[in-house]
Amino acid sequence: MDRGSARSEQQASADLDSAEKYTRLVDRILSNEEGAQQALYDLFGRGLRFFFAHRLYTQDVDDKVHDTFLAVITAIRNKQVREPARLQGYVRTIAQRQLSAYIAESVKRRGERVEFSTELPVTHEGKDPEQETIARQQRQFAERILKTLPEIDQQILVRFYFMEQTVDEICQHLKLSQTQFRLRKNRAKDRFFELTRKAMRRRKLFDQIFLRKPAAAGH
Amino acid sequence: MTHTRIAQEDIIDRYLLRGLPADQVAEFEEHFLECRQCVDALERSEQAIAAIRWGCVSIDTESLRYKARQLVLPWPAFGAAAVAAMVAIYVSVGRAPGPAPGSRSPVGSAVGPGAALRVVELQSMRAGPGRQTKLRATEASAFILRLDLRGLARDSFRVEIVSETGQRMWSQDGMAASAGDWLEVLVEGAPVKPGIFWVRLWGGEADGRAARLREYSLPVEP
Repeated sequence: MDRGSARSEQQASADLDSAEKYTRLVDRILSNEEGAQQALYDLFGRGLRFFFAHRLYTQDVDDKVHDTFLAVITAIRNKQVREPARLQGYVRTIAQRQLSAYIAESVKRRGERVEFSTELPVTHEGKDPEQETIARQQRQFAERILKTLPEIDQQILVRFYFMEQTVDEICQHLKLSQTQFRLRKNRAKDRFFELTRKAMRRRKLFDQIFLRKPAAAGH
Repeated sequence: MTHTRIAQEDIIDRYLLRGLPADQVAEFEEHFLECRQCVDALERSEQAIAAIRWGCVSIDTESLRYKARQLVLPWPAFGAAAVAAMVAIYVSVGRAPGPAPGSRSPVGSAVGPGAALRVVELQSMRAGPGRQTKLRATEASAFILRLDLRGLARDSFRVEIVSETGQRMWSQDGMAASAGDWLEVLVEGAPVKPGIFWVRLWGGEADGRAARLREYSLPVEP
């Protein structure tokens, strides 16, 4: 058996495991088994929280996660989940609906089209002197750490994440293959993250600035 | 979706940077909904990218060659409103490459109202404050926005100025006049006052819809 088909079989086996797991979970919720709802929450809670946080970047993330769970549990109990083996797809569909409804409601509330950022966190400057000082220190610190990386890694990170050059452009400029670029980029990013987190944790600044979801950290 | 595929296709970064096609977004979201390993990786990467961008704010990227494009024609895909607003578009003559960032004069021999206006140069990316020339409220009645386009291949753009709460204050559609690294747009009558505003750059997709490409911070000082 070649490596490709072995991998396919592993994947098929994993899919089957997941399908059985979802089916059992739906059965447990239908029979009001103790702990079944908690199991559902444990399974999808973190993923859902990231899903909403990434799309909305608002304070309402926990509410949306909660609403999604309620809708999923209600649907299961009303036997509206026709393919329990595809529970994760159903959960995403419900989450997507929650998201659309939230956006529609917000637009209605504001009386005009509003974009909810699906971007990375945007930090507003100029709010108050303390925040500005922290932001300035943060920039200096991150820059200092960036400069400790090898020159080529700095270039990769700056070009890709800041200047948003395409992979083709960067590979051409730095004479890298796409695989070399991807591996090098991810290693450099991990290295930068670890160095920054380590240094910032000492200064207790990292969480204040970069961890944008402190309320969700405990879940 | 397997972890091997996620790694090989760089799906984590492409998801965070909105570079995944819609079908793959759905597939990946279904996957990470119950995958702690991927949520960990997403959270780490999201934080790392934010930190990298903070670290890049003062990095000198100006050694690259700059050329400027200007928004000169209405973009039909954005509808008739673009035509109505065309009078506000800054008109350039010629297609010559522009000066390096920092220059106070727009590209080429400017005609119309832009010649003596404040040029606000924005190099910010999707996160972090980026680099920008600050604008004073007294200069805000008419000014020229100079937006960094490096890495963007499109020619059709919409430029919007929104408040901190996402309320749209001003927008303009058009085509870039020529290939270049900067886009220059005349902003007239935008109701900006001291505070932080955001400039959003949209681009036309092949199917006629607009995709948000970049967001720049625009601080307005008293």
